[in-house]
Amino acid sequence: MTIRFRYTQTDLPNGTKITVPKIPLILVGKNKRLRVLGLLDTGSTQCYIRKDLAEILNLNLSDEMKTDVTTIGQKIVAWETRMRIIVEGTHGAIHEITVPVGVMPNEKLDEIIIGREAFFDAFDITFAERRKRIMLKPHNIG
Amino acid sequence: MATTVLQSAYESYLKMDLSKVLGAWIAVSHDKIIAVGKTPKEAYELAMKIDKTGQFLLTKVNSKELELL
Repeated sequence: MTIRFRYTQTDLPNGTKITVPKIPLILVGKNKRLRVLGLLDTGSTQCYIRKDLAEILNLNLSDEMKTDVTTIGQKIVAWETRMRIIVEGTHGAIHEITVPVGVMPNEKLDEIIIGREAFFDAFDITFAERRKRIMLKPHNIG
Repeated sequence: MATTVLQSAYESYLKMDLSKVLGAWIAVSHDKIIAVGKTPKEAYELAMKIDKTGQFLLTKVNSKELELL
C-alpha cells in the first residue's frame, strides 16, 4: 500500500515559506534507534548523516571505514558504513532497508540525506511538487 | 487509524509554530517540543533527560533554503 507524506514547511519571518521533501524515518544502528526526518534527495547517490548522529547510533566508525569524499570543490575525509532505515507504513506495516551511508564531519552537513542507493530501490517514489506530497510505494522485496 | 509514536510526532511537527526555533535542532515528543539545541547531539542529550525511552522525533528546523554537499 502506498505511504503518503506531506512536505515539511517552515514559515520565515519575512513571509517566505520553505518546503522540503522530508519524511519520518527510524534510523537503526547498533542497539540504538533515532526517529528523524530524512530529506529525500534524488541528486544524492547514497545516504549521508553527520558524525554526531552516527555516534549516537553506535555505527562502526573505525579507521578502516575512512574514505575520501569529493564534493563540490573540496575533498573531505568521511566514513563509509551501513545502517538500517525503517519506514512505517499504513496499518502497522514496517519497511526496513539496509543502506550504505556516508558519515560526514558535523560542520559539513546539517541534514539527514536519504540518497538513491538501496532506499530508492525499495520504493517507487513520487514527488508531487505542486501538491507538496510524497508517495512511497513499497516493492515486494525479500 | 492507529498511529505510531513517530507518526504522531510527525503530524504534530507539521502543525507546530516553529518561528522561535528556526535553524535549531529540536526533539518532539507527542505534541510538544521537549528539547532545542544547536546540534542534534545537544538536542538529543537534553531530550533523553526528559524522555528516557528515546522515542522522540529529532529534526532540524530549516531557516533557509537547503545548502547541501
